Parts: sequence; structure tokens; C-alpha cells
Amino acid sequence: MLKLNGLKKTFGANTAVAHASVHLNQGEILCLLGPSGCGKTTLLRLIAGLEHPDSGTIIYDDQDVTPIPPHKRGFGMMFQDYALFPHKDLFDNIAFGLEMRGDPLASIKQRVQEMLTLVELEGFGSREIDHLSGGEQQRVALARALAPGPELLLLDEPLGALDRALRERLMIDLRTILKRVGVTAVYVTHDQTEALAIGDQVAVMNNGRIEQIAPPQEIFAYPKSPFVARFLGFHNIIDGIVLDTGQIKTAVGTFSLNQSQAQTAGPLTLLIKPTGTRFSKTALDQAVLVNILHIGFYGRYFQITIEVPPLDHNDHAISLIFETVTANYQQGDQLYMSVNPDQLHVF
Amino acid sequence: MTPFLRKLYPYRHWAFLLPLLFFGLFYFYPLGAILQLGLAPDGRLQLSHILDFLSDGYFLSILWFTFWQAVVSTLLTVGLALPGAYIFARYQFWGKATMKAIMTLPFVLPTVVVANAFTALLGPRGLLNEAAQTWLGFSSAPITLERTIWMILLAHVFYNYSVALRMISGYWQNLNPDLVEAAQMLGASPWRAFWKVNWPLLRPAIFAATVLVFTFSFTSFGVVLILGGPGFSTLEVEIYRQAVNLFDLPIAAALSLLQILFTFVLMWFYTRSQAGLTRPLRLKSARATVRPIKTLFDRIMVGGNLGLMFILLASPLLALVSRSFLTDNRLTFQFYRQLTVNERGSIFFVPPGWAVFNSVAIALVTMVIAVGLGLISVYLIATDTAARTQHQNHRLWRIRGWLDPLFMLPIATSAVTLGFGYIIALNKPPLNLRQSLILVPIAHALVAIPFVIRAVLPALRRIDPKLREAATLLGADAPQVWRQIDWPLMRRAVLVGAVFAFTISMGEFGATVFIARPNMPTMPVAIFRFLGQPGELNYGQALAMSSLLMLVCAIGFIAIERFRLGDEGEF
Repeated sequence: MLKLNGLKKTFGANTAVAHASVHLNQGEILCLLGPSGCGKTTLLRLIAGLEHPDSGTIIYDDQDVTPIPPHKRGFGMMFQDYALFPHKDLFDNIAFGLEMRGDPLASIKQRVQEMLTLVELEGFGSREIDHLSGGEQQRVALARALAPGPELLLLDEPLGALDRALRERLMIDLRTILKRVGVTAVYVTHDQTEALAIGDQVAVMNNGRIEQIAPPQEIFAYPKSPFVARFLGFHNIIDGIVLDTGQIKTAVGTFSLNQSQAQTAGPLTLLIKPTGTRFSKTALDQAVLVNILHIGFYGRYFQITIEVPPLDHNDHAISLIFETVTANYQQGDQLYMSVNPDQLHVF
Repeated sequence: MTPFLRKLYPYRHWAFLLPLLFFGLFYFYPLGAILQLGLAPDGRLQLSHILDFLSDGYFLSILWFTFWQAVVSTLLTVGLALPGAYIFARYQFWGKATMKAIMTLPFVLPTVVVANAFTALLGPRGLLNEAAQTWLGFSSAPITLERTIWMILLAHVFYNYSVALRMISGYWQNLNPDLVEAAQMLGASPWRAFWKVNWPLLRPAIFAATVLVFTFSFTSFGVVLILGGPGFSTLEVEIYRQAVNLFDLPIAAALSLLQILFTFVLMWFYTRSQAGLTRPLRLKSARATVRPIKTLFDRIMVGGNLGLMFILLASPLLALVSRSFLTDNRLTFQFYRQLTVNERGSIFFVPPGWAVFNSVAIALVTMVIAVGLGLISVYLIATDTAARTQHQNHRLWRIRGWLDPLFMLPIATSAVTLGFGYIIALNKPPLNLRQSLILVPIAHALVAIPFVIRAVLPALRRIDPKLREAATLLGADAPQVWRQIDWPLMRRAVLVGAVFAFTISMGEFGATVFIARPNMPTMPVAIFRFLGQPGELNYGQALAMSSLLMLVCAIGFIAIERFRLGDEGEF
């Protein structure tokens, strides 16, 4: 349905998007996730037609839309900070796209009412934009973008301006509405929770490149690179060495992995999932002695920061962060720690 | 702070009376005198003479001319400035900041210089005509725009273009470009997106610029007097002629009154539209809204507008300077040298070099008065500062609501009216200042104070009251808070205001021509005198003096741009 082939966009010496290729099916939501400046917003604006790519094509419904100006593409867009027209009331904002299309007044009225019902703002039609709360503005922006019935909806950090509690509630509302309408959507965010909760596909971008694109569960279980892992909120990324025996030697022990990918001898990088360890005051099999640097209580779990001696004695000590349900030890203790090999992920 | 000032500090509220007293004595009192002279010279209403004049066809034709030339000037100015405002609001290009500084020069140039610049370019002895005669073989000057309406319109556009451009682009550059993009995503073509979104949002700024430019054109004096010649007369010029040439003071007073009424109505519209500009629009910082020049359309837009600005703004000024160094197409410094020579050995003759000294001295005094009173005024006006909560119950505080528009009145009042008011009001006891040297700086300060206020007020309002509270909790007493917080944060804005006051004083003509003593001419008055005398030499000296005045204003204005932090000041 939406196909991006080798899109590239530079601003002067700065490459914003480098060879981005994406395939998105009808009705799916793609989340573009990445730090600020990674090119995710530029990629969205390329799809919208608000920027023109240096090279590459945008195919929608087997039609090359690359040369078509934004107002003729028929895509909807929800802007960061919403870009609601301050000189128009709520009704006229939502009606704008319908007026541009030249719809008769009666059908505009009906459609705006439908939209107001959809976003649960019935009876708000004559409100001024200034008098709406942040969450209400967000819903008006969504209604305005959806009113002309676009086949593809582009959303640029639509929840970015809201506080955390409101964001988590609206996140679910937003996905529910998008799914009910059945619109294909591209959703830009820098918040991994949002991306995982809303997307059918999640693409992590770094320096203008798409590092990995996969369904949320898959990308969370098997991040392809340390960058993707870090951006999804993982901390414990350590170096290891593949021995001649096929085992992997790390600062937290030596493991045999039953992962399908055979590792050739040499250095590699792995990820320890935050729940993948056991602590004990007595020596365990395959355990290393660690120092507890800090214990933090997070309500449902404890976060334990520990320090292990490095593999290479010239390096700094490695600090790792784990989550445990109980923690009957304290800062400064020395403990034995064993890592569950199932919770290791090799990049 | 010295112990003496510290002792005075508890009585500081009395300082608020100073600007009020100043406005009372030097604005309302002279205006009241005009009113009285015009309507009831002997204490009884005498309207027959005035009514005769006002119902005369001559007067109606002046009123009609004043009105329609202002309308045409305004439409031309705003129409030409609109695309210029767009490129300054939306594009980044090389030399933009410098260009903005230079472009603003015409606004602070005295009308006498502007008029001269146009004569130097397009007049019968102007650069273009001489070039056409020398190189293209025309037997007489082919461009005969002098003393036509076109000269006046051109000069008005020249004079007000940068005001309109600054006001509109200053607002436009903070409009969120997402709004237009949102409209495009909803199916609006770029053209429709402009009309449906940008146009309604820009309308208050465009309206404010239109009213201001209309006010300036409606009260135009120097441009019409010098470029138009005897064939053209605005209300303002007619006031001058009636008072100075025909000595019919009641008529002059009646016309002044009429003009004040007109401009008050205009200013009412202006302040109302200004209020519209403060509506919360989620403005964006200008840096986030500009884009580089990329497409052919971008190049045509930017190139076209810069070209227009060069022809419109730069070419007359360049003509003025180059013409002041030319006689019979040969380079000469004669005009500049002659400025110091008393040609006819007259004892009444004041060497024009003295005019430079007079102007600078008057401008410095003006600056001190305007900045001092302006600073007191901004504290009187500022409503959203810590000072407000502190003094809320003070009796003076209740009138602050209408102080801001009150202090803006001199901008709307014609300088000629003011000068005329001084002549009739301040020449007899209790206030006999007619012969006093201080009268000219006082008049100039009155014109300059609104500009000082506009420059400093935003800076004062931007100071977070929490800063003062923090300083107080750290042990600073009130004078120390002012010294450590207010002053450092306002300093640049005050400097901008000071330079504004200085340049305004340097260029002020309308009031000065009334009240300056004959033996103490300022530069604009000296230029006007040169123009009133025949001969190549006098004309050349007028150009030389204009070039010098322009140089002083240019230095002042480039200094303003250097001090300006971000978009300090509202003009």
C-alpha cells in the first residue's frame, strides 16, 4: 500500500534521511521511533509532500505520488502542537478540509458532527480554540485530520505536548480510534512506550537510517543493534568474546548459547535483559561476585545497580541495572550474581 | 546609590508626576491654546471666519487632496511591502540582518533629506536627467516628475515602506508555518492556504501598518512642501502656510484642531488593532520558521524584492550622496567646503557648520530628557510587574490604564501643530519660553518619548517578577533590586531608545521650523533655507548638508541594530 523506495533528503551538508525503504500494509500503523534529529519528522514530511526528496520514490496504491503536491495527495496530517487555526472555532477547524474539497454545507455539518462524536466532543462545535484544554485540542486536531476521510494519516508526535498521565490514557484512545476508522497511519514519536503501544510496526531510526523495522513484540525481544536496544530502554549492553569452543566469555560469566546464529570466534556485543539475573549471598554455580552500588524502590519492583570487574583489567568497572521483586540486601553489599542464558541477546 | 538618593527613595512616587507634568505643560497646554485661539480668540466663540474658510472650495480641495494622496500612498506602500515582509519573515539569506538595518534608515531620515534625495535622483538637475542629457542626447530633461503627485507618492512609499515591512514581517515571522502546512494537508492549494489561513491571521498586523502609514501620509509635511511645490497642499502644509506666510492664526488653529481630531480617530483604530496583535497565537520563535532559498520561485521572490528595495530605497540615497560631490559631471568637494564659508559677509548669516553643532547639542539634550521621562513613564505604564502589586493601592495607579495611549499621542499629532502651539502658548507669562534655548529640545523630547517608551516597555515587561523576589530574599533592598535586576536587563533597550531619541531630534523639522531661533538653525532647517535660495551652489550645499545628516542618522541607526537584542522594541 505505502511503499518508500530509497528516500534520501539532505539539508545542506546535513543528511536528514538516508536511503529509507519501508513497506506498510493497508490499515497498519507504523511508528517511527528515534531520538530528536534522527530524521523521523523529515521522513514523515517527505511522505506528506511538505518536503521533496533528493532521490527515491513514494508509492501509494501502486501510484507514484512523489511529484504530487501535498494538497493533492489526499493524506491527512496531525501536527506536533496541533497547528489548529486560531482564527476559527472548533467546528470551522474540523470543516476546513471538507470546505477545501467543496462539499455542500449540509454534508459538511453532518460529517463534522460524526467527527465530534468520534472524538467525544459533541456540543463543543462553537468553542474557541483558545478555550480548549491540551487533551481537547489534541482530539480536535485528530478530528480535523480524519474529517476528509484520508486513506493515510500522518501523525507527528501527537501526544508530545501533553503530560505523562494524560498521554498514557490518550495513547489507548488514539489507537482505538485509528483502528475503528481503519486508516493506515505513520506515527512519529520519541517515546518507546508510545511506539510499542500504538504501532503494528515499529521502525527505529538513527542518523537518517532505519536501523530496524519489525512488529513491537519482535523488536522488543530481538533488537538488532545496541542502538535499537538502548532506545527501547535497555541498559545492560556488554562486550564478550567468542571462544574456540563456541562459548561466549563475558564479565558476568561464560555461556553456551543455543541461539541459531553461529558465532565466529572474536569479540561481540550482547544485551542482558533487566530481569535475567539471580542474586544470592552464598556462592552459586556460574556466579560472579558483584558490588551493589544502589538500590531504588520503584513500587512494583526494585532497581538494583551493580558493578562487576571488567573482562579486560585495563577497562573501567562495568555497572549494570537489573529489576528484582525482592531485595533483602543493601547498598555496599557484595553478592553473587548468576545470569540466565535465556535472557541474553547477542547482536 | 548615594545616601542622598537613598533618602529620596521613599518619595519616588512623586517622580511619576514629572512625565504627567511635562505632557500637561508641553502638549496639552499648547494644544488648548490652539483650541482657544482658533475658536474663541477674545474669549467668545467666533466661528464665522472659520466657517467661511471651511465651506470654501479651496479648503475642501485641500482636504480631498490630503485624503486621497494618503489613501494612494498607503495602498502603494502596503502593497509593495507585503511581498517584502514575506521574504524577510520566511527566508534566510545572506546579509539579511544588515539589510534590515540599512532598509530602516529611510524611516529615521528627516523629510527634508528624503525630499532632497528624490530631487537629486529625479529632479530637473537630478542624476537621471543629467545622465539622459549627457549620454542619451536629450535636449531637455526627459523626466519631468518634479512638482507632480508622483514625486510625493514615491517619497511616501520610500519613507513608510520599511515601517510597513517591519510591522508585518515582525508579526509574520512568528506565525507558525505549520498552520499553512496543515491547510495544505487538508487539501488547500498554496494560494488558498495563504488566503484562508495566513491572510486572516496577518490582518491585524496589516491593518495596524495601514493605519500607521495612513497617519504618516495624512500628516505629511516636508515631503509635500518641498517636493510638491506650491501646487500641492496637505492639511499640515496648509497649517504652516496659514500661520507663517498668511499670518491667519485663527484659520491655522482651526485646521490644527481638525487635524488633531482626524489623527485621534486614526490612533484609536491603531491602538485597537495593536490590541488584536496581542491575542495568543502560540507564536513560534522566528528562528524556527525561516527556510533557505531553494526553488526558482524562492529565487524570484527574494531577488525581485531585494531589487525593488534597491530601486526604491537605495537609489535616491545614493543619488543624494553622489550628487553632492558632482558639479557639471566633475567630482568636487566645493559644496562641503562652502558649508563653513559666509559667502555674502552678512552679519545675520550663520555658518552652516554651526547648524551641525546646534543639531548635535539639541539632540543630546533631547536624549537626556526623553530617556529620563520615558523611563519614569514605562514604570507608570507597566502593569504586569512586581511594582504593580506593590503600589496597587497608590492613587496614581488608578489612571495607568489610559496612560499608554496618552503617551502615544505625540506620534499622532502633527509636528507643525505642536510647533505652532508652542508659538502661541509659550510666548507669554506664566510660561515665557519663546526665547529660551530649551524649547527646541523640549519639543523634540515630546516627539521622542513615545519611541523611548515603545523600545523600553517590552524589556521591562519581560523581566520575570520572580527575579526581583529572588533578589529580595537574597537580601537586596528595593534600590539594590533595581540596580541589580531591572537596570542590567533593560540597559540595551534603554540604549536603543536613547539612539532613537537622538536620531529623531537630529531629523525633526516640522516643529523646529516654527520654534528654532533664526540665529540657531538645526541641520534640517539649514537645508530648508538652502533650498529656498536660488542657484547651483545653494542646491549643492543643501545636498551636502543632507548627506551629512544622513550619515549621522545612519550611524545612529546601525548602532540601534547592533544593540538590539532579538526583536527588542515594537517599531
